[in-house]
This record gives sequence, structure tokens and C-alpha cells, in this order.
Amino acid sequence: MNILIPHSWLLDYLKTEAKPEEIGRRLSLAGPSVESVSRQGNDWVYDIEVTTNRIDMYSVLGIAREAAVILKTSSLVRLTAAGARGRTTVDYLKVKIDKRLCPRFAAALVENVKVKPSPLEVQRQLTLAGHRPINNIVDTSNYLMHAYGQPVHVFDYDRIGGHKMILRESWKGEKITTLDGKTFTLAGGDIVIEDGKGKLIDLCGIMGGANSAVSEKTKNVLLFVQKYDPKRIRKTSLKLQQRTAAAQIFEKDPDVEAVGPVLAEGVKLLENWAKGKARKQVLDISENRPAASPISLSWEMMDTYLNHQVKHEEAAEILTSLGFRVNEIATPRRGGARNDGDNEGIEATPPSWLANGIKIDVDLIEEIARIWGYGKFESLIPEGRIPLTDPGQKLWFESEAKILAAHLGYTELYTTPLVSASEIATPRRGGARNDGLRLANPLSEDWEYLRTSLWGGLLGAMKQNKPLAPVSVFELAPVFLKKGDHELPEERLRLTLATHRPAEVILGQLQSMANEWGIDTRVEMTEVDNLADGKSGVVYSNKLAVGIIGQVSGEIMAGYELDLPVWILDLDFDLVKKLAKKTLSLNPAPKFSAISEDITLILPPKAMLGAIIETMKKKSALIQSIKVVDRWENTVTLRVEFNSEDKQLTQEEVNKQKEAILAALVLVFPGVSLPRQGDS
Amino acid sequence: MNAEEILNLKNNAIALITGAGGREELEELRVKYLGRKGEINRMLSEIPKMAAEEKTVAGEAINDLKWVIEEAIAGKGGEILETADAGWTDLTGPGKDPGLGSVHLVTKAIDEITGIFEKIGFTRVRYPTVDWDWYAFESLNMPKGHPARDEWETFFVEAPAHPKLGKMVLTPHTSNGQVREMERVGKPPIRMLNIAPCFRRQQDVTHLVSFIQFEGLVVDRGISIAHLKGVIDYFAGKFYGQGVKSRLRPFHFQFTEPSFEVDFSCSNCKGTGKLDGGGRCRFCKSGWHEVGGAGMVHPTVLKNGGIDPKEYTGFAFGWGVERTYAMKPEVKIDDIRLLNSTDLRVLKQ
Repeated sequence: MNILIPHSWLLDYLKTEAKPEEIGRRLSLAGPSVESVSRQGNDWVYDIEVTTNRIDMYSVLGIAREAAVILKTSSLVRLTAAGARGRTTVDYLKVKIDKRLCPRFAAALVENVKVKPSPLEVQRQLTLAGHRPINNIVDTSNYLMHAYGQPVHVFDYDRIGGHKMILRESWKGEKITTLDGKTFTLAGGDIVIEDGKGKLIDLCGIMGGANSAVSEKTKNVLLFVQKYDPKRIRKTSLKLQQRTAAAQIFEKDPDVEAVGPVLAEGVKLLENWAKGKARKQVLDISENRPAASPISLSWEMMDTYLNHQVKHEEAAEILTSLGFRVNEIATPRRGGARNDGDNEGIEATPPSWLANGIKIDVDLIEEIARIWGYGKFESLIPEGRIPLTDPGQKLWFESEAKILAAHLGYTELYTTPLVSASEIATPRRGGARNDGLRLANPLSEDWEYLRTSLWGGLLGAMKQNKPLAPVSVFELAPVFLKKGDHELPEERLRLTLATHRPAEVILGQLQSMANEWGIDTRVEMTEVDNLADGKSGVVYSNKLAVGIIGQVSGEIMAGYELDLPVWILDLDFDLVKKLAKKTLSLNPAPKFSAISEDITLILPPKAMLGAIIETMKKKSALIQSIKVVDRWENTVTLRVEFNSEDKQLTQEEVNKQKEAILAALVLVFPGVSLPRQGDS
Repeated sequence: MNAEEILNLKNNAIALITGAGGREELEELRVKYLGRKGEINRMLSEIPKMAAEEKTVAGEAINDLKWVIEEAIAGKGGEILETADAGWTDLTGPGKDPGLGSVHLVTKAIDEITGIFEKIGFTRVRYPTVDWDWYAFESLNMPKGHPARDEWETFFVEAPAHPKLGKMVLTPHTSNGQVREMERVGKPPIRMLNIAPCFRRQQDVTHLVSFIQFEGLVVDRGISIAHLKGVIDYFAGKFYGQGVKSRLRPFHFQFTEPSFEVDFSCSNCKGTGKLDGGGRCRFCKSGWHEVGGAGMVHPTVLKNGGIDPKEYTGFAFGWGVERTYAMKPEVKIDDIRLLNSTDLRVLKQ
């Protein structure tokens, strides 16, 4: 959360010669983060980000305290208990308080006020601070909250029925209209104040009621300063979505000791600006506040964290300057002798405004180090043992595969893992399951489910890039597969390539990639969901189904408005990783020269060349390789290389092999025939 | 065979060789004269049948002839090559596009980051993106309902909560890997680099819904703020260039104490905020770039990971891959969402 602090206001609390830009810079390096310092007329405004654990900085005084330590100047105004001592009863107000909800309840009555605009300088500063000036009464409460980080409320005293207040939990269904005009139906358990006439007059810690608000007609003001249970304030504020400044402060547990002095300060302001007269009796009811416990810090621990760079005396001084009470912990000596010099460590008791944020030794270390100066630490690479803890995820293999795909002509995409309901519902894309995980709080309908396939992203990209077609794209990324109750989904890696180029290209690429990975592949023609009939198959490696390959079905193509046919290769990459060989071996080159024969076959429709080639290889052990040199309509020419490890083959031996192969083929594949003699 | 025959053969051979039309023809001539069954060998094979005094003369003459023919063939061969070289081939215009694809910038960034950290002993891992509340928040010192959780707008998954580990979420940061790594490795030393996708329920000009984050975690005996600084400075030097320095500013995370925001000095203006010719550097904020958060691992987190904070200390940092990469001065990207684009006109650059 951010706060705007005018420089002129800061100077009410801080004595310094430093210029605003320097102050902003030095604060950011050692304390609160000053996001900008901007000039506004004759003044400057700091825009400061305050972290949730340091609500003490959410005020002019809080920043002044920090600046006083960081700039090493003294702060002017100290928030100390001042003014009349509070009493547990006063004659002008009857109260009944649930102390669990409100650990400290303080109020003061200021009578005969004249409601008018605040002094011009006050209005100017409030405006720069981001508050809208309204009148001298309302402005007082905003002024106090901004100056001290303590929210303050002002009631029109005469609108409090019976001058009685009951601070209690709300019941379910109770209604209240706050002074911004909104009406809320409460869930119950919220902190509210009911007056003597049974009306709810305050939604405590969040916003006052409209029915007790101050107006120009107000004569008597009840100044009201509290401490509330932070958890309840947060709960109510989130539930009703009323994230007021007061709520955001209260839910972070601000300094309870601020209540008394802020009330006293508020009385002074009302007397000053509104010419009212304060009653002598001041109400202050609180629980017993236990003294803050000291926190122990061993020098050994601090030295470890701070690289032995911070002197112990300096560390103690820094804590003292921040408001801690510091005692040394003496190292016990044998025989009870006194020790001079080195101690074991210190005990530091935090001031009230730090007690909620600083609780353990590492919190003290942070305070010491930031003030001492983060910029002064050395820069060392850890020297300890190197952990040899490879989890075996083979992540390097993914990088290699991506480079391989890129060299084969594919552009890598990163598509969003969140998809729409309609995409999940499309019947099982190539093995993906259509019961994807749904988000409980999606940002939009397009991003409601975790994807179970990479197809949507890739085809969507191809649609987006239609003017550039033909294109080839790929993605290697996880898809999310639901598992049982109380189990996280499996984040399974898939490698999906999509291209407009023809089948033999992607088929060849699959075979090349498999070769690089040291795995075998075989495609079995079969129907695959969302791929065109007769143009699809499952890819096997080592008899395991490792993916699918084929042409995207017309229906899916239409859905993505794609015209040019798209071929897809979709692999279970986690399985590929498992099967791939990290180390490839080399075989020596053949000893003898191969003899090469061209064999032309005429194939029947729907012939499977893979099966034919397998049969040929089975028939002759002397086949070194078979390549397709030409394929035209139903004719295919294969170049078969024959070779032997034992001797140089002769043409006659090769001819015999060839005859045997052809004879076998014609037998096993009745549809296959040879070209007539004279055809070539 | 006599001298006259040899002379005729030589003249014929030279005539044919000098008149050869191309490499193939020249090769045929070579075989004809110098091959196993060629003219020279035939003549040599007749020598045994000759009279003794004729042998030597014939032998010498044939050898000379062989040499002359070899020279003629070599000479002609060179001439043919030069002719093949004659002509004009324009090499200035665009060639045939080999159709290379490309690896995504983010992948390159990930590989570069991995390389840098592996050199100082980090182990790269990938922890889940869909995780339990325990790992994403509670074990990191953020109890249920804590205001600090507001900082990360979280996506929740529609699934039954785990009895011990809480609701199923899309992790908003890679810090969910910290306690997981402590559990996996068991006892320090730990040097983890977790790179994984994260999700935040917020989308605008500077924020992506899903992005890749990388998280470093070091736990060992005697780890100090100086070590955090050392590792960060080392990374900055390698990733952005020598001379780039880091700066730590106070901040707050529930799972680190002390906590920092980390800046890197701008390599464009050498960290000064001003350019050589005068004028403000537009690339950075007063000489610095904000890269992300870091801190000393909170003792509660160490305890949740089964590690004794009295014996061991550690530090951690978690930054966005896209954002960190976009800060390289050579990378002129204004809108970080460009890195998520699937427009090939962008990716094919």
C-alpha cells in the first residue's frame, strides 16, 4: 500500500537540511521504498510503498522516525503520552464494550465547535496527501490518521442516541448505512456500535454510520480513537469489499500505544481549528497490555548472517537509535568472574510501534543490516561443497530436442496453458483426455481449464498466421492430466509439431529425430481421434505407443478456419526421454563395397510400404539399406544395397538374393506386381 | 614392336588427349593408355619376348612414352578444370532459403540462465506448476488468511482440498520449490535452480497471466548476505555483461528475513542515469533496473523443510525469465507481452 507524504508536513517532525530527492534516495536504500519524489508548487510529495509488516511506516511520523535514523538527524516531535489521563468512566458517555473485539477504547468530547473549512495550509497538505478536505472536523480525523497512522473517527455527539454506546458483534442480517451512502447487510461477527436507541451508528474500523456523521449543523463532537481485533476487521472489510484506509491499517495491527497521545493531539486540533471546548474527562478503557518481551540475538548468529562485517557495538547502537532498549547478554565465565569486552549477544526490547512486526532474532538482524548499509556487504560466491543432487529430469534433453526441431524448420511457440471449455470438450484430441482441471476463479471464459493437449495452441497460431502459410510450428511443454482425488495432476510433457508441408516430410523428420535420439520407430496405420481417416497412425517405439501422426481432420480444420491441410506429429515426450539413449555408439564402416540394385514395384491401393520393406529385410540378411528413390502414383522404386561382413559379394550372389526377395514379395503381398519387361 | 610403332602411338595419344572434349573422355583415354589393360602395359608385356639387346631400349622408350602421356593427361586435366571455372555466378542477391525454424527467445533465455548457474554448482530442477497450498504459501510462513497472500492474486483449481496440504492452486511463484527441494535433498548443501511456469490472476501492459520464473535457493553452513550478493553479482556479470553491479534495497516477504528488492545497474548508461552526450537515460530508472525479490531464507521455512536454522542458513531469489531477459540492452522490447506472441512475423525475426 502506498502513502503520499508532502515534504512540508515531514518537516513538522523532522529536522533536516537534506533535499527531498536525496531524502527519497537514502530512505529507499535503507528503509521504506520511495517510488517517486515529485514537485508540487513550492512543495514536494513522496510516494512511498509501505510493506504489510511495517504499518508503523504508514504515517508522516513513521517516515520521520525512519528518516531520523537513516539521515542521522533528530526527529522533532515524539509521540508520548500527553494530555489528561484517561478514565474508565466519564459523565458524558455510557459505554459497554466487548474487550475481545476492542482492546482499547478512547473518546473525548469537544463542545461548541464551529464547523467551517480547515485552515488553508491544512487543506493544501491534505490535498497533496491524497485526502479531500471537507470541513475542520472531518479533516481533523484524516489529518490525525495521516500524521500518526492511527485511524480516528468523529461522531456528532448529539446524534448518538441516549449518549450510549454498545460495542459488540453484529448479528447476521443486521443492516447499516455508512457515511458514503452504501447500505450493507452484515454476515454477523462484525464489530459494530449500537447506540441507546438501538441504531447501529458505526461499522467499527471501516467506516462510520451515516446516521451519526458530522455535518455543518454539528455543535458537539465526540472524538473517537480505538484499537480493534485485526482479524475481524480484515474479515469484514474483505467480505463487504470496503477496503478503506482505516480498514487496511487496522487489519495490520497498528501500535496500541498511539491511541492515548493521538486522542490528546486530536483534542488540541479541534480546539484550535474549530474553537471548541474540550471536557476535562477523557475516556480510555483498555485491556492490560503486557510489556513487550525482549528478543535475544546471539552475536554468532548475527555474524553468520552479516559476514562478520558489522561490529557488535555498532549493531547495538543501531537498535538503540531505532527505539529498542538494548541489554547485553554476558557470556557466562567459570567461577563467576566478570568479563569485559566480548558478550554472547544482546537482548533487545522493541518499542511499542515495532512490537508487532519485530519478534525474532532475524528480524533484529534485518534492522541492523539495513541501517548499517546493504551496499557495504562484500560479494562472495559460496565456497562450500557442491551438491550432486541431480533429480534425473533430463532437462538438457528438452533443449536439444527443441534445437533439433528448429533445424528441421519449425518455429517454437509458447502458447497459454489455460484454454476454454469448448476446447476441452472437443472429443479426445489424439489421446488427450477431455476431463481437464477447471479453475475455480478464472479470469475469463477463454482461460477456464488447464490444457490437456498442445493442439489448440498450435492450430490457433496457424490460424492467426494464415497469411504466412505454409508454416511449421512446434511446442514442447506440459499438459495437465487429472489424477485421483487428493492427487496433483500429472504435468506430462508433449512434443507437438504441426506443419502444412506434406506427409513424407514430417514422416522423414520423425525418423530423423528418432535416429538422433537413438530410438526405433514404427507407424501403425489406425484410426485416431481428430485425424483424417486413412491418414493417421500410432507411433511405436520399442513396442510402446509413443505418439500419433497424421493429417488433422476436416472438422477440426474447419473449426480453426484452416484451408491448407495440416499434418501433426504429437509425441509423449516424457516417454521419449525415458527411451532415448544418452550415449550413442559408432560402428565401423563396411569392409567391402556394397552392390546396389534398383527394384521397381507396382503397389495396390492402400499399400503399406513399411510392411513390404520389413518383409524384404527378413528375406535377405545381406540387405544393408533400402531407400526410396522414386515414388509416383502406384509405382515405387527402391534402391537396395547388398553387402556382407565376410566377403565381397558378386553380382551373381546379389541377383540370387533379388530373385528370392521378389518371389517372397509377390507371395506375401498378392497385390504387388512387377513392371512388365520392357517397362522401366 | 619397334621405335616407329612407339612414335606413332605417342603422336596419336597426344593428338587424342589434347583434343579431348571433357573429363569423361579424358578418363577413357587414361584408361586406354595407362590402365591395367591399357596400351603401355600391353607393350610392357611384350618385352619378355624380345631379344636381350632390344629389351633395354624398348623398356626405356616405353617408360618415356608413359611419362609423356601422363604429363599430357595432367596438363589437359588442368585445362578442363579452368574451363569449368569460366563463367559468371551472381553471389550478391538472396540465396535459396533453407527453411530454418527457430527456438523461442524464452527458451534461449532459460538455457543461458541455466548455464550460468550450473557453472557454480546449481542443480536445475522443475517443480510442479499446479501445487498444494502448503508448498505455495503455508510452508513459506504465510498462514491461511494472511494479508501477505493478497500480494499474489492466485488461481484456485476446482478440486477437493488435500487433508494436510490444503487447496490446489496454480502457484504464483517458483518459491513453492523451496520446501520441496529441502525435502528432496534432505541435508544441505543445497543449490537449487527451479525454472517453471507460474500464474497470477492479473493482466495488463506490464503483467502476464502466465510467465516463467526462475528461483535460486542456497542452504549451507555459514551462508551470509555477502553470499547472496556474490551469486547475484556473478549472474549480472555473466548475463548482462562485465561491470554490471547489483544493489539490494529493503523490502518484505514472509518467507525471507532480511528481504530485499534487487536492482541491476543499467548497462546503457553505466548506472549513472545519464547518457554520455548529456540527457537522461530512458532505458532505466536513475541508472538502475528492478529485477525482482530476494532474501535470507526465513527460519520458519527452513524448519518446515526439516532443516535446523541454528545450524544452517540460506538465501533465495525469484525472478521472471521474460522480464530479466527484456532488461538486456540489446533487447528493445517495450511491451513484455510481445514475448508471449504467437505471431510468426514477430517470432521469425
